[in-house]
Amino acid sequence: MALERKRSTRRSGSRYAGKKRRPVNKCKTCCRKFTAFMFSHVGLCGLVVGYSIMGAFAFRALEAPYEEVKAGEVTDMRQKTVRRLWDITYDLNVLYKDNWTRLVAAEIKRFQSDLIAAVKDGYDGKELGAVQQWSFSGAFLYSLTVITTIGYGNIAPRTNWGKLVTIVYAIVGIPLMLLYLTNIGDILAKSFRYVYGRMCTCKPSDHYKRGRNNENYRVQHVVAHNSPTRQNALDPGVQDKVHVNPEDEVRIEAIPNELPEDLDYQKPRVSVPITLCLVIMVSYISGGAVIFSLWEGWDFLDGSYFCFVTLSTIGFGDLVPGDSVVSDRGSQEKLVICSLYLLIGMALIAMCFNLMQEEVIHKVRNCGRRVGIIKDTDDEDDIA
Amino acid sequence: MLQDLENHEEAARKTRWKHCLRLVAAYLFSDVGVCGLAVSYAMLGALVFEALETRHELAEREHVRQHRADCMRDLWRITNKLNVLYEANWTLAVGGRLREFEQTVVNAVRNEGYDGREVEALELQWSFPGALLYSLTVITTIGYGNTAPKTSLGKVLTVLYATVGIPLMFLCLLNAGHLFARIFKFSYFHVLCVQCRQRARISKVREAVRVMLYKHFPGNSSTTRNQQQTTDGNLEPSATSQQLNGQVEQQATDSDRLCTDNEELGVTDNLITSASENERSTAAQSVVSSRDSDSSRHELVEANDVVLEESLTDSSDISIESRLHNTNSSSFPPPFSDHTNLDGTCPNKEDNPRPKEEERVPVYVVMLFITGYIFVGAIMFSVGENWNFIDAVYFCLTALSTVGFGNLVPGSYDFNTQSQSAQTRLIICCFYLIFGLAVVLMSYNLIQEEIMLKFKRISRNLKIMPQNEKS
Repeated sequence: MALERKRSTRRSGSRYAGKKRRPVNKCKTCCRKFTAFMFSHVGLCGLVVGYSIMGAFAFRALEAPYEEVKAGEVTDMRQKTVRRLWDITYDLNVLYKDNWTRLVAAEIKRFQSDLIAAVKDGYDGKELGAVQQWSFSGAFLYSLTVITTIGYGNIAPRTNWGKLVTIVYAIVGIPLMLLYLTNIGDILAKSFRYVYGRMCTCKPSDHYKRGRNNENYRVQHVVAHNSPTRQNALDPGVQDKVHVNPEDEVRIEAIPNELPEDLDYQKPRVSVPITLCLVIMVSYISGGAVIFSLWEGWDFLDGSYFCFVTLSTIGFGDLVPGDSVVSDRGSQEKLVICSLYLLIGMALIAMCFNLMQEEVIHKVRNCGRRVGIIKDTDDEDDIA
Repeated sequence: MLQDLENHEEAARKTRWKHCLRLVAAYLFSDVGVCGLAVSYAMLGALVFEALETRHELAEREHVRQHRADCMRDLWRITNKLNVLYEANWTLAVGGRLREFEQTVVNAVRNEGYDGREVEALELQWSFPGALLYSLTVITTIGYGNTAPKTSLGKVLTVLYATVGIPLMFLCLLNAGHLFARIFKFSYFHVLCVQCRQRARISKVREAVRVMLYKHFPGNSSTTRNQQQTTDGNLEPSATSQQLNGQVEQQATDSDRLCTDNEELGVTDNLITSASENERSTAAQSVVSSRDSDSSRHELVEANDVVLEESLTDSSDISIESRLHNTNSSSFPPPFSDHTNLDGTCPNKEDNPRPKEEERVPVYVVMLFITGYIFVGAIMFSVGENWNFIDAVYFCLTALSTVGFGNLVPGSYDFNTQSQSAQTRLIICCFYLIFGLAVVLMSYNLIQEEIMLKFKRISRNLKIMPQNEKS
């Protein structure tokens, strides 16, 4: 047996070295462990949520006053229009329809223009004192749309400070979100592969079929025995091709149980079929569509359109749950549910990308080779 | 026999067709092809969406006008009904009716995509430039939303369009970013950064000299090493000599390239170029068994560096000089002679291929470039759209990070200015977006190694990652 690892003794040896550590060192190690935890998986998730909550507070403080001011302005404008109309009506002692209509039409048109400008500046039609756009859940959804680059736009900062803070928030938040997604996608993909592999061991025929296909098979651990010159083992890892001498006996070894856990051996890599990933994504989108269309009174097409546009980070913002013209009861909960849907959905998509990428690249390469675009240079030295 | 011939001809034709198709497919999926494919895909989307959505937009304009007419008719009815005009009554009724009108207008703007233009206005949101901007925002996932499909068919088509278009655009931008990165690196290292060029040249000369010196005169075991190397045959020495050849040839190339300008390193360049003219020389103590002109070049370089730098404290320096002087005194040219060849032209660059640049563009240069691009865009949009500067910077940043809120979009209808040249502004916005995204991917291409290295170093310092993990 050519496997010998002495790492465990080395590691335990170092533990006895620093027995008497000063408090400063302890503090440092504590800090280090804390940051290590923060950048580990759970910590990252909490960091993203915490960052969004912090953003929600900041944006709410910056933008909610302006929203109130704006709503007040529109109300003022409407009342001024009414007063002007009254003045028109009052001034004309004899009411001729054409005269009056002409004057009133100009007034209404001006009212409409000002109203549209106000709507583009963020007015949403709700009365003063009703539920605001920049409530806490609204601001939370807004922060999420910034750092996921969805960017709905139905709520958007109108003050200069809000815009500056948005810029800075995005510069820090977008890489953080990408980090979160890659991490979460990694974990979810690993666990999904594990579960899928477990389920697939019930069907041994798949395993053999996979084994015969040279390109999918990955040699994890090749030990060359019975050869005078080479008694060593090749490094474990993912290798596509292994060159061995013909006289060596090549044996694929299973992972022995007595090896220490920290060697990070990789089990044979289960490849999840692409169709399964696509089914997962489509069902998540459809599930969200059903929920949102039931709540918002949209039809199913609008619901799935919204879910697709959200999860692909396009984010038009024309359809957003909890954001209707007439003030709705329960809109705050809808916004929170929408945020949760967003976070989970993006993690799922990251997982599916992680699962699919090898297969997709493999298939594209096959396709290209068959069409003749890609030269098949590495077909000659495959292991037969 | 005739049938055989026919079959043969047909088979030949078929193979020719297949070959043609293969060439076309290969071209389509090459770099240029993907970019062209993405652009034509955007234009195709623009045409389709324009055809689908224009009708709805015009219909919506008509609806708003209808609402306005209804409102006025109701107001007249209110006014007419009250025989005696009490202000409070009338105001209440009119205020209520106006509030309803306001709701319909707000609904039209927020949910139906009404942009405030009248029925008679000629410009549409869903004109060809507008639809092109829309297609671009879909496949780059910016997604403004000020122009968004309202018909069912438009929404279904948007979903399908995005499914195909987003990977395509991503590939196209990757290629464009790669190309831009190469151009940027080239212009940075060979045009902008004068210091880099000089530093590169000096360091390479020094390196060649040091390797040479170590090989020839490594100190105590010089003689034994020499004997070993000579007995080993031609393999090892020629390998290192080839290395040196490459380095010194590179020196020759660099100097030849700049043969029309600076003469600060003139002496070195002189000796190198003139050494290339010396085909024969009697090299002393050469471990290199292949006695060609390169060995003399090495010694000349070495001697020259000793003369120039005088930084080597090896005791055998003087012995080198004296030895070389003895053997090659005749071949030292006068110091500031002409760089160029004997016939007066610059030596051909194509003879010596330049090795690949291993250096990386520093991060701050790339950041500076991006910031410059954003500022240029901000200035352009603040002038063209009458936004204030913060708004323009905010727009550029949200567009280039693909967040894309959509409350500020160039080329949209503005009540205050009521400008009419929306189409040109839309086209400019499209170009800015595409180039900006390519610039973002280019910068990612240029700095990713640096960032990964720094990140790994930081995490190793913080002992987050295990220390024996190789990068």
